[in-house]
Amino acid sequence: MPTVLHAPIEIAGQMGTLCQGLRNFGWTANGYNWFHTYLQYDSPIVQTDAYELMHVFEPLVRAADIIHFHNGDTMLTDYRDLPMLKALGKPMVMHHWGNDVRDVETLNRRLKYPLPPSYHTPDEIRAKLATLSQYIDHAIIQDHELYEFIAPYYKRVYELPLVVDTKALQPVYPNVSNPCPLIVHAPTSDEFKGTRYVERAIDNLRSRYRFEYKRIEKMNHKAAMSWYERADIVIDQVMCGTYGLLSVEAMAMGKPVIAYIRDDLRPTYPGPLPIVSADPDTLEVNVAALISDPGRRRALGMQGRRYAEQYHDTGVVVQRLIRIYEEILQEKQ
Amino acid sequence: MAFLTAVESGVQPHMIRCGILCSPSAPRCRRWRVDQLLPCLAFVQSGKVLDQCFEGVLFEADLSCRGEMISPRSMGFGQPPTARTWLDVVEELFRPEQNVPALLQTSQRLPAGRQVDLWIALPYPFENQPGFGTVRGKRLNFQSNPEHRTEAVVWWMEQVCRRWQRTSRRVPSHRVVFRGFAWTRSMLWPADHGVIREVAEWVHRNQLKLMWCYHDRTEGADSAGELGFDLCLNRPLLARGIHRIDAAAAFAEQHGHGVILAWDGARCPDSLTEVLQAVRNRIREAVQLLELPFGVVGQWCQQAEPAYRALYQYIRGIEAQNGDSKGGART
Repeated sequence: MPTVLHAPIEIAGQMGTLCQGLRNFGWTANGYNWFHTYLQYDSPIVQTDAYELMHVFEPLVRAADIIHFHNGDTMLTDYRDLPMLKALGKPMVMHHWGNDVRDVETLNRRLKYPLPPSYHTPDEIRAKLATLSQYIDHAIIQDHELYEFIAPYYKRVYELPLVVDTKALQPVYPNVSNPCPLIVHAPTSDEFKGTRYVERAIDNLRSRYRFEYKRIEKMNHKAAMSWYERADIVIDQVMCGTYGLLSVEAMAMGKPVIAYIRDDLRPTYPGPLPIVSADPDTLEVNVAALISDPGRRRALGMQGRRYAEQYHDTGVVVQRLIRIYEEILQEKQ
Repeated sequence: MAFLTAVESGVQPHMIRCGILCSPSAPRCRRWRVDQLLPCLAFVQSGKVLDQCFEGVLFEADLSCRGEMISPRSMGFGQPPTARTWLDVVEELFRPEQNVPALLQTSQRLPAGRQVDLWIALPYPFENQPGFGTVRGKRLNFQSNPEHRTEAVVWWMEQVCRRWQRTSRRVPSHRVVFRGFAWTRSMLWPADHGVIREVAEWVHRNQLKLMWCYHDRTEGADSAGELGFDLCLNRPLLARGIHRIDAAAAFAEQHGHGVILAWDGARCPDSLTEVLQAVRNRIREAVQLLELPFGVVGQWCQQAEPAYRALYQYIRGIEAQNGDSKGGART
């Protein structure tokens, strides 16, 4: 079985879950993450820094049959590793995760509620993509939302859904007799997720409905998961137009999820996505509808669990990833 | 501030790293015998010892021959080790006729009055090891009980000290001073802070020292002394560019650290002689650890390569310029 090297940034525990999933299929896979956050994902990969990674670069490259980079970064600064890796004929794929390639200026011309500036300017993003695609032919994104930004650069773009180990998450469906549902919102970046709109809607609803609201912030992943487990409604982001790992985890736990899903993107997801779409204008009415309909909460929770099992489970996603790797490896032969 | 010097730190100024067992880059097992150690510790010509060369040795086990990760340098290249693996490392360090016993024998052949410092790198307690094994009747699980990591390292140091006492007594005329242990994980991973502090306390209680080897620019290196390290050595990012060595040297000088010089002919465009020539005046004062490919010094000596003399001159020349022909601090 081939050996896969993942580096250098883990986003939302995905690198570790993919590596473990590949190992379950008999592949040798290891990840090196130099980006550490308060989320502290309990991940079966090596937590490191750029300097340690630089010093193991050579043996790592020698050991790897395919290199899977994440978030627009590679192992050496200024992409100094890419010419070497290309010269060695090392198969590579770049996994873009969102703000590393999302051209917010372009997107905001179409969005009613503009997204905050990213950590890269559009010019920086274009320059990075131009450099990366000189050396890397293949890219992976989680869904179609990012496609427009990277398609002009790479030879082939694959969509690989976010991954969650559904077997490790027991569904806890909302209790239909709960008179005071718990609403959870967990922004890692409140501006990007639209937290102020979420909380405006929550404030407006307080006088009319009985519910509890919990904003999860600066909490490690394990502690946050215990809150999701107790939730009756989970609100993800309401501005960007697609859904993130919070939605996937919440669905896997059997929770009804609210997020803003762009109309043009909905047909691009596999199967009927059971996420209630709401933007800042429609959020209040959608939250109210779910508060007052416990039966629907439970039904959506069950649909969400099935959706997560069918499209986001480690086994399903990793099999798809293996097919991607096989295509890339075949092309290099 | 200035470089960490031999006099102030009470250690010998020039150490050589002796990797043992396997490494991620070299699958063959490395064992240091007298014939390999002697040309490192002494300047040898035509089989005759003319002078001392390196004054210290750091033994570090990277990867076991069964592919278990021992040193942090092997992170991700194998399986997590168990207590059995760690005991095997102790066995390997003290295996008759090689490594530490070979060092004891070699020291007897040094010019009169010369000594050698012995440093031993600590195995890294990998956090993701749930079944480390039984230590002092207790099953250790690093994943669920982070404090077990410290217990394991302290237990291992005790094994080493016990073996050192037993082995060194058998060679009464040796001239090796066991200085202490080295923590060789460069990154100051937050979960390691507690381990390092407790390890440092144990080391100091036993009149030993704790050295830290790190890569240049590592976060927290400017305040690493707070964790209990007695000496910190900064490794330039890549030894191939002199400007990189210079940047690491500048940081080391600013923070009272020493310097690590790593050279490998397969990777460096410059010869070792050129590298040494370039840094000779820059880091003359600093405590230094040289990392060279296994066996290369012995080969140079045998083949009377100019690099061998250059290495010797670099080490002794620094001392001569200091006006101390006998080297740095002695005990």
